[in-house]
Amino acid sequence: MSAPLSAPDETEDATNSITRPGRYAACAVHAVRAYGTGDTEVRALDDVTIGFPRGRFTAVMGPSGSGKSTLLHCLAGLDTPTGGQVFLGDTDLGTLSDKQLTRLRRDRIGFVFQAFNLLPTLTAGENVTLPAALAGTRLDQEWVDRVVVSVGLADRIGHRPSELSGGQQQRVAVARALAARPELILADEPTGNLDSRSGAEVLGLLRDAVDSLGQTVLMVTHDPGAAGYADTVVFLADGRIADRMDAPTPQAVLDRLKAFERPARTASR
Amino acid sequence: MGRLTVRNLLAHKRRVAGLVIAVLLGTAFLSGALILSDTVKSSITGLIRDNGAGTDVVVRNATDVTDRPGTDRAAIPAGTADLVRKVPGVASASPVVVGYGQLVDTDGEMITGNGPRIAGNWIDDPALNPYRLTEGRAPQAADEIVVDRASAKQGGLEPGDRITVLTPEPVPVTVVGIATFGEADAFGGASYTAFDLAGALQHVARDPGLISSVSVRLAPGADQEAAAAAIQQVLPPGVQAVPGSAATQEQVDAVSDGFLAIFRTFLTVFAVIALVVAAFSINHTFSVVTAQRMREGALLRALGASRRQIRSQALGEAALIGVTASVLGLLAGAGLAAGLKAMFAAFGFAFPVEGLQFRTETALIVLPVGIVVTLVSALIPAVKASRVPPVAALRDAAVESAGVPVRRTATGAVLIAAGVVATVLADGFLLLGLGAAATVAGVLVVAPAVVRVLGSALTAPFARFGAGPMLARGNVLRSPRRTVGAATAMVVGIAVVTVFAVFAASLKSGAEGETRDTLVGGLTLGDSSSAGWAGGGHSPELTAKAAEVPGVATAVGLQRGNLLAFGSSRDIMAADTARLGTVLDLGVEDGSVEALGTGSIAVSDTAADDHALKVGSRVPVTYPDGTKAELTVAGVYDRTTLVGDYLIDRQAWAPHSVADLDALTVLALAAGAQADQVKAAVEKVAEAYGNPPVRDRDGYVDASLAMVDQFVTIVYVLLALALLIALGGIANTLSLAAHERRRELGLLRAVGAERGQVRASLRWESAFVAALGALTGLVLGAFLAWSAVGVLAGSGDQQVPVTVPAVQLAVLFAAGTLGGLLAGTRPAARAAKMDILRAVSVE
Repeated sequence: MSAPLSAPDETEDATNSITRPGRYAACAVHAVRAYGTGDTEVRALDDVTIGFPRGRFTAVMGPSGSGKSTLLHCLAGLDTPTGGQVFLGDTDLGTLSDKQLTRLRRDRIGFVFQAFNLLPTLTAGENVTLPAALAGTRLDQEWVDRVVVSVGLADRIGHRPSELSGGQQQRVAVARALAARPELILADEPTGNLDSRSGAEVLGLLRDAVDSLGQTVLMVTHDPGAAGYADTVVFLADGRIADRMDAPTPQAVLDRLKAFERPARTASR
Repeated sequence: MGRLTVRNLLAHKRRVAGLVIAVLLGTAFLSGALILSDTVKSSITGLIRDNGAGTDVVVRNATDVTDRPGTDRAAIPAGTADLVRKVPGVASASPVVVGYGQLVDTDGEMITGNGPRIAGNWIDDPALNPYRLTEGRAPQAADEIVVDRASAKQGGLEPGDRITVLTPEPVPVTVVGIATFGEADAFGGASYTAFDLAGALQHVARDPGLISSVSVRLAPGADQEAAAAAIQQVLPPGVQAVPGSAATQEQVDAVSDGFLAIFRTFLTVFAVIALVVAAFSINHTFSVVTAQRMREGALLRALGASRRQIRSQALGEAALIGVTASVLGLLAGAGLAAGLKAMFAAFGFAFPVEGLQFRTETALIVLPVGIVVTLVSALIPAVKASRVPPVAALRDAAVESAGVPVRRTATGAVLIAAGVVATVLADGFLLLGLGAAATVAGVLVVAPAVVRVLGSALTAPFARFGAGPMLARGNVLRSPRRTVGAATAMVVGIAVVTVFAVFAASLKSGAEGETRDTLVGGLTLGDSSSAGWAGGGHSPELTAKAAEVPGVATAVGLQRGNLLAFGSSRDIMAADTARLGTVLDLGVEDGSVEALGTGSIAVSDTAADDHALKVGSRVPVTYPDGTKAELTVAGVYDRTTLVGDYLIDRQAWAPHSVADLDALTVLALAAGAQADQVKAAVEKVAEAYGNPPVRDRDGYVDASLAMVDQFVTIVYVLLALALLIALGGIANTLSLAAHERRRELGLLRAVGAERGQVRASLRWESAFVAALGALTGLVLGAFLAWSAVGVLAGSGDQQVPVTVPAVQLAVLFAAGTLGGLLAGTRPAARAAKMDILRAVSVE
């Protein structure tokens, strides 16, 4: 698992140099995800090398088809790169079996998806502790209670998802991601289906998790407003890292994005 | 819209496959039942036609006292053949002797078979003899025999072997030839032993001066009818000449109306049960598919399709599926028929059948039934689908309501109450049936509310076993109506099996108790089951010898027979009634059953009720030989398991009977005699008679119930097919549900559920549904059986204690649940293989 790694190409992105993967919560090293072969080959990720530092809130942005979702899926062990390596801490995901990847997601990663985050048959509380139930372990109840209170759902804990609003459902998902104290929280367009107020609440929770709990959050979004909550924004275009911006503001992000505007590509992911 | 219908079917192969399988299973059983009964019919009637093919005229006793084919007519004078031969146009006339002949092999054991044990005379005119010698020669002395090839194979007999034939007296003989029935080894399950005419008259005929019939071959071109009329002129009274074709047709009709009709009805009953179970399964599958397609339908509605168009699209699909699946079911029925045939053979009911008989009628029954059942099952979901407002369906995929309307529960409760009251108070089967139907309907209506409460409580303990059962529990409870829908076929199937199991156990324990009460003698000799075949039993000579064994106080032989009374054939028992009381206690209710003599008869209370008889009533009867008599009812008795409904004395029976054969001998032990020693001594005596079994009371009771058990087992196997259909339905809807929930399953996998856990959750779900269905079915079935036994006991005077076969029911529940678990295996495995990325990605 902790095999020594050669240093990635530092010339390509000096500011993002990766000397030892363990320094980062997660990283991709020359990651390639290609679909098809020969003339029809489409590269959703084209030699991406990037590290996500611990205790930081990073947003990944880019136009449709830029590869941002693919990057997230590869980091989560849901998709496998066709070239290069992906690490969580110092674990090379490429060396893991399907079962090990499943356990890694369960024990070391927290997820917040755009929609359909919760099992409709479980209560909000049961959804929060679902990964632990799958692992057959019990979470520290005091901590779970704290998390539930912090996302503002203490009085909704026994309700089923169908009895909750969209914003409340996403907050349950955030609570689930926080409850297991994972190494990395992956959020895929977490506010995509929410109104602006609910969206702001969810983003505030993620921000707070980084600031007060020291969590690492990686969020894919196309909303410059959402990106404004992050410490750093990474821009992807055509499967490559195009730019990065520290201490982003929505306006600056919007301006930067406009520079990418070009005819839409037909292939995605 | 027509093109859309076809497109839709092609686009959703899995849904279509689910529906097709549901219909196919239901129709296959019906098709199989019809094909098998047609096959058996054609082969049995074929055998009968072959048997009579060369006989132009049959001369026989004019009296027929039995509706069983081909046996039991009394004898005619042996000289009749000579009279017939003189009639112009008769080319050949052979006297025919037919009687009882049990072969005993060289080791002294009876060669048992699955049909009557027939002995007779070898007929030299090949046109009149359906048997063909394949080895050896025809018998030429009174102690030489030809045997059928099936018996020869079974007993390892070869020409030259010295063996014994029980006719029923033991006759030492030499096998000189082996014959086939046409091309077949034997005439169905019947064994055949042919002496020469002298031997047959001496050993097989009741009297050397009597024969069974005369087979006549006419000169070429002669008319059967005219010849029969001409022959009739020379015959003594009581003897008739009938054209061969008519005689054959009589037998064919007798088999068709008797055994074959019962067999067909028997199979059809199970086919209908299977079809009803399948109908519930089909209906539920359509409901699920329709719910999944709500959105699609709503889109069409929003685009301007009318309700009627939506409805006819759904029905059009159902029609296509119904036709396709019914055709497949029809074909699958052929395979099933072959399987059923093998099953009956395994239970010792081998049919003399080659190939399968597929008649157009089968298709004309199966196809419309399958199509109509499919359409009716699809109708309700289709109407429901068309009623959904377009906006509602477009807004949310989960159109199916999870709630249980209070009104529905209330309706169900009222139905159950009415049903239970009617069932409990019922004193006849009409009210019982209505009550049962209302109860079943009520239970199904109220079930969703019950699942919500009881299902939740019952599955709760399992949720601790891990994530699989916990998730499964949630899915079972998420939509109680859907859970009930999935389990309904199971409920109905298990209820039917339970009714049968409780009913059979109760009747059996009733019969067992009655047999014990009746059998006051210490030992029995002979096999009660062999008496099921016309003429089975042993020689009265053996009974007489057994009576002389030290330690035996009395030995009473029971003879079976038929006579005509009240306009049709009646099974009677004849015995030495002067001494019968020492071995049997018939539970006399009125008068006396002792010493009936030649002018009296005793009847069961059932027969007394049926024909308004009481002590002193006069009963006109006709004996097999045509003699008419008027008997007086001397007594009315209660217990019928050993003697049936009519009992007469041997003195009255002997002069008119067809064969002198004791079906069973009951022995009373002398005071102080050791049962074991007496039993051994009687067995010794029985050795020379092919070792008929000697049993004590427990042994006899067990043996007599073994037949019942075998029948019960066959019924279980047939009912198991209905359960398979129910399980198929559960598997089907589970795989539809897994498809529907693919995003949930994807989410589960994404947040860390292993494939095994996903699989486990679906298998547990399947087991939960099956278990809930099985439990409901058990309770329902037990209640209905209890009521039915009550009604049955109320209608007769038989004491039938309700017996709940706890072990069988426990096994049934376990089998249902385990079946559910297995049924979930495939859908679960498929669901666990699903692509997580596609499932979690926003469409």
